[in-house]
Amino acid sequence: MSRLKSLIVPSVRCIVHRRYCSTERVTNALVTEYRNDIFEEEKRRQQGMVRRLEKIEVVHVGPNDPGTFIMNKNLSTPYHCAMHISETYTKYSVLAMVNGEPWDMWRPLTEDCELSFVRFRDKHPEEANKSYWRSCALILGAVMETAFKDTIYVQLARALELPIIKGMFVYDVDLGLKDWTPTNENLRSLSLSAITMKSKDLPFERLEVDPSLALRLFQHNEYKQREVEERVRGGRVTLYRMGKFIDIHDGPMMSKSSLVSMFTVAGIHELPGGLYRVQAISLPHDFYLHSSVWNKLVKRASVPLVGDLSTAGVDESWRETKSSAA
Amino acid sequence: MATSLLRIFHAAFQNVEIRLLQAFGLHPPPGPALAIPGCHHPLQGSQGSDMTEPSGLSSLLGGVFLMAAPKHRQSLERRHKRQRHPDKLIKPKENLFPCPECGSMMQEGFLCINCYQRIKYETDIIRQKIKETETDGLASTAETVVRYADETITESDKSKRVIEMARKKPHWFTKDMYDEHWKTS
Amino acid sequence: MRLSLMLLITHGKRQRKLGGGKPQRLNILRRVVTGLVRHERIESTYAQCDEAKFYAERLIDYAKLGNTNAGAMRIADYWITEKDLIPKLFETLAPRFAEHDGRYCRLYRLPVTTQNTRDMAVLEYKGNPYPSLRPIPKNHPNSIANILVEGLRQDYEKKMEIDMKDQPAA
Repeated sequence: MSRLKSLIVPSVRCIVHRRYCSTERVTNALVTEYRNDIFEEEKRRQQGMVRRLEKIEVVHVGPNDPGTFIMNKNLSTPYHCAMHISETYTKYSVLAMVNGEPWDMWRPLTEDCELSFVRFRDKHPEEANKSYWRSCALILGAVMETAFKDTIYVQLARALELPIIKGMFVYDVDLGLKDWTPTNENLRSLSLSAITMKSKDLPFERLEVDPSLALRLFQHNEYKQREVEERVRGGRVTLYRMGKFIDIHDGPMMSKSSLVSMFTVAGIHELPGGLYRVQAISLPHDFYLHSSVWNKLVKRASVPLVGDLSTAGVDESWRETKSSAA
Repeated sequence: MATSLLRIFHAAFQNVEIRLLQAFGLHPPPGPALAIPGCHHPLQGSQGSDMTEPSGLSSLLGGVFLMAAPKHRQSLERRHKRQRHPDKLIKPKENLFPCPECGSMMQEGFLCINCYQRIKYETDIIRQKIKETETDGLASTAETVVRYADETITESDKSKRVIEMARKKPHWFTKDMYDEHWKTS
Repeated sequence: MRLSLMLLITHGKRQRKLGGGKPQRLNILRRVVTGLVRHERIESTYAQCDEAKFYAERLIDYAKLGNTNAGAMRIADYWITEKDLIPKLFETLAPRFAEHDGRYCRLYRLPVTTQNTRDMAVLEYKGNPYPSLRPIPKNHPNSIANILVEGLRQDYEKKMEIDMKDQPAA
């Protein structure tokens, strides 16, 4: 049991603000441990709810390797189907399409369906691209949570959903600092920690939970609690876990962190409200860009993005200063 | 250059052969073929001298017939060093990657065996059909185009000989895009 | 040591010794070229395909001179052993390559496997009716790298527009 749990009474829903903290200081490490405990408990509880193993027929409708799999209902995932086909499917598939709908690779299948896998190099990789961009924002959040010393408590505010043609993904973070500008060394070390996550080959686990449990999980982060209320879909909320990092998001994520090949944190700048906006750019595996092109892309991503992008999707209300565009 | 060297070696080997045979007495010695008094013949023995001069190869080695042979048994370490030298070992192929079309492993610079067998099977069917259209057994002088059940023939292909295939067009059947690019360039 | 190395070096000889002897080599290559003209895609050993490629392309060059040209007809008559293919060469293959200068053939290598231990290759004339052996280059405009670079390009164009607008004022 984590130390933090003993400090906070679970039945009381409260927002632990830094000022009202007891002698034990709230740190990201402790909070992560706390969240993981709740996540694990819930995951085990949900798995325990599957009393009887029912079988479902999953038909692989991809261009190659046709076949039908008899899988376990509510237990088997598209990743397990891929394991039955071949290793290249497990390594290179980004997303699964179940009955034509995008589906996480680690999300359990619920009924008889038609399955196909999407890769980055397909003719229509739009879904894969979108999920990749979302997942990279998640990785960025994970990086920010673990990057700072214990003296700074990082609260992740919001991962913004931007179109890929913008050339960057963004995470707004509350650092509790004022007038902080990162040096090049800082940015490089952040990028490197993202690369270490890639080398750890972490899957993006998905868990659908009750909003109350999500609120309890994100007890120490007021922004995330607000996001929980916004992201309730059909009375449930979707959580994603990558390694030790847990976040809340709707959309399907990519299969594993090893699908990233290049990841550069381009810039961090302070927003008017006191939050810091972290901008980064990433490239999936199997794509190769010359360093000159990559540097141009990073430079473009480092241009500070100002404006309220809280509405998801394509929003042209961003502004760019002319001098920074030059 | 090589042929002259070959000739040299050939002559040298012939020489050695003759010397060997002479040593065993199976080859006439160098010298006059007629029996002139004063000549030696190894088989008949010399007429004036007691000592038979060793001839041929033996004469070079002091009368004892010797060839190269290993003196000592090669130790296990030495043997292993020779047999297990990295140059002699089979090297693993590092130029393998999954085929972008079918996902099976292929070698860089070579065709994917899986895709090739798939295409070959289809090509053989097309060829069989071409053979059937050539009823007199002579090759036709018209260009050929293959039409699948769900395809329609384009204007430019109407003048060609059409091979009808009963099945739907396979997703991997592509006319080489370089052909199109190459024809228009 | 030095002498043996010199024996191994061919010193500028570009022809392979196929079949053991000059006439046998040409017979083998004639068979390969005839097969190629008939089927437009053949599978053979890499050595034979590589050697025959030169002759197959030269044959097309001669065929382009037309079947009224005596020299071209002689060459075609020698190289093509099945005589029903000579009209095909002059009337089908030569017009196909009329606007192109050379490089009429493609040579692909097949991997050596336990079932197939010889170095095999596939030789084909371009423009044949069969499905393409070359995998399609997977560089769709919707792939993520292309989208990123497209964004870069659009920014650049916008910047150029702004600069052009500024220029008359400046």
